[in-house]
Amino acid sequence: MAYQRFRQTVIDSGLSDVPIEGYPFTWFKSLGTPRAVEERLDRALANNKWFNIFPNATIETLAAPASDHYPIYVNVAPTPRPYVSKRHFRYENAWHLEPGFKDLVTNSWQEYSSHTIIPKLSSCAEDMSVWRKSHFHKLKTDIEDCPKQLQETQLGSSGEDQVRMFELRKRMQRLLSQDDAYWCQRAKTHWYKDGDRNTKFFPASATARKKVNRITFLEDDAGNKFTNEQDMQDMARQYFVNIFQQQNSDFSSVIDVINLSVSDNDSYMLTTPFTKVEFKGAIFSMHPDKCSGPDGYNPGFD
Amino acid sequence: MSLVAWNCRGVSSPSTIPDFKYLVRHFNPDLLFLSETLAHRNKIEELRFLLGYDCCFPVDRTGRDGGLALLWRNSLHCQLVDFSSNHITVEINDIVLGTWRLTGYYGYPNGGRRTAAWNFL
Repeated sequence: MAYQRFRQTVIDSGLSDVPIEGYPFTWFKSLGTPRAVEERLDRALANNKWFNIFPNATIETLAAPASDHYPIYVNVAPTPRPYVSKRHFRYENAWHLEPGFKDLVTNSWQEYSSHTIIPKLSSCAEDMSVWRKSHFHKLKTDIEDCPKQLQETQLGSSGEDQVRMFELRKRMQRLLSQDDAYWCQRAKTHWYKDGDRNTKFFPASATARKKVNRITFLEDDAGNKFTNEQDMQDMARQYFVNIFQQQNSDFSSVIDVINLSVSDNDSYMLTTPFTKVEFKGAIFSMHPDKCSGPDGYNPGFD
Repeated sequence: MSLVAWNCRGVSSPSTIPDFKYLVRHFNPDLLFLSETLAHRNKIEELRFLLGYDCCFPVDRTGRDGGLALLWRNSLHCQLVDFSSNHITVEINDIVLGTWRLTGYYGYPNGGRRTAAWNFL
C-alpha cells in the first residue's frame, strides 16, 4: 500500500531510476538462512532534464561490510572499461627443466587418454597453468635468494650443511638454465644454437623485439591515426572484414588465360595423403623457440 | 563527477571507518550522502576531515536514530537549498553542463511513520 504511494509520487514528479549495473540489490537480511531477503531499497532517481545533462549515468553497488546496506555509487560519466584480454596459456620451454614437470605431463596425458587429441591438449594445458601458478611463478626472486642461501650454508661445516650446499648448487644451476631458456624463447634468435649461459644479449634481443612488435597506432585509408585501444581493435576488425568479404567480380576471364603448368605426375604427388614420416620430418625440423599456435603449444613441447 | 549514497548505520563505529576510507580511496566520489549516521555534527565534521572533503552539511540525529550528512568537494560549487530530518537538497552548479538539483532523501527508520514519509514526498 505504502509502496504504491511511493510509486505514485515518483510518477507524479516525473522521476525514473538511473540504470543499475552489476549486482541489483542494495540491502540484505538473514543471508545464508532459508529466510534470506535481498531488496533494492536504496535508489537513485532523476528527472528527464537531468538525464539530458548526464545521458550515460549509471549506478553501481559497492562493497562495505559495516552496514547491511550497500553504498550506491552514481557515476555520471562512466568511462568504458578497458578490455583486458584473458591471459592465454603459452607453453614455456623453461618448464621441462623443473623436476616433477615431466610426471605432471605424463599423468595428465594418461588421465585424459580417452579424449581425442585437441581436447586432450587443452585439458593438459589447464593442468599446466595450475601447476605454473604453484611451482613456477617467481623465477627471478628464486635466482636472487639462492646465492644468499648458498653463502649461508658455506659458512657451516657440518655434514648436514654439506649435503644442503650440494643441493643448493644443483638448484642454482637449474634456475640459471631455466632463466636462460626463458629469455632464449623470447629473444627468437634462432641462428643461435645451444651455447653459453644467459648473457645480456638475450634480454636485449627480447626487449628490442617487443618494441618492434608493439602497435602504438594504426592509420586508416583516409590517413587518420588511431591511438586508442578500442579504436584500434575496431579498425583491425573492420580491415579484415573488408578483405574477406565476398566481392562481386568475375574471375573466369583471368583464369582462362593462365596455362596449366602442373603436370599429371606433380598433381598426383600433391594429392596423395601425408605419410607419418613426412609429418614427423616437418614437425621435428621446427625450431623449439618458435611461436606457439592458437592452442598455446610451441614446437618445444615434447 | 561521481557520487556515493550509503545507509551506513552509525558513522563512527569502528567497522565503518575503514569502509569509508576504502570507498574514498577507490572511487573518489565528489559527493557523499550518508543516511542513518546516528551522530551529531561534531562527528560528521571529524569524518569530513578524515576523508579530506572540503565541505559538509550534517543533520543531527533525532533521539537515537536518523541523522543525515552530505560531504562534498569545492569543485562541485554546491549550494544548500533545503533540509529536514529526512532530506538534504543542494544545487550543483556545473560551469559546462548547467545547474541541477540533488536531493538526498531518507524515510523514517521506524515502519509506523512510513506513510508520513510518502506524504512528505
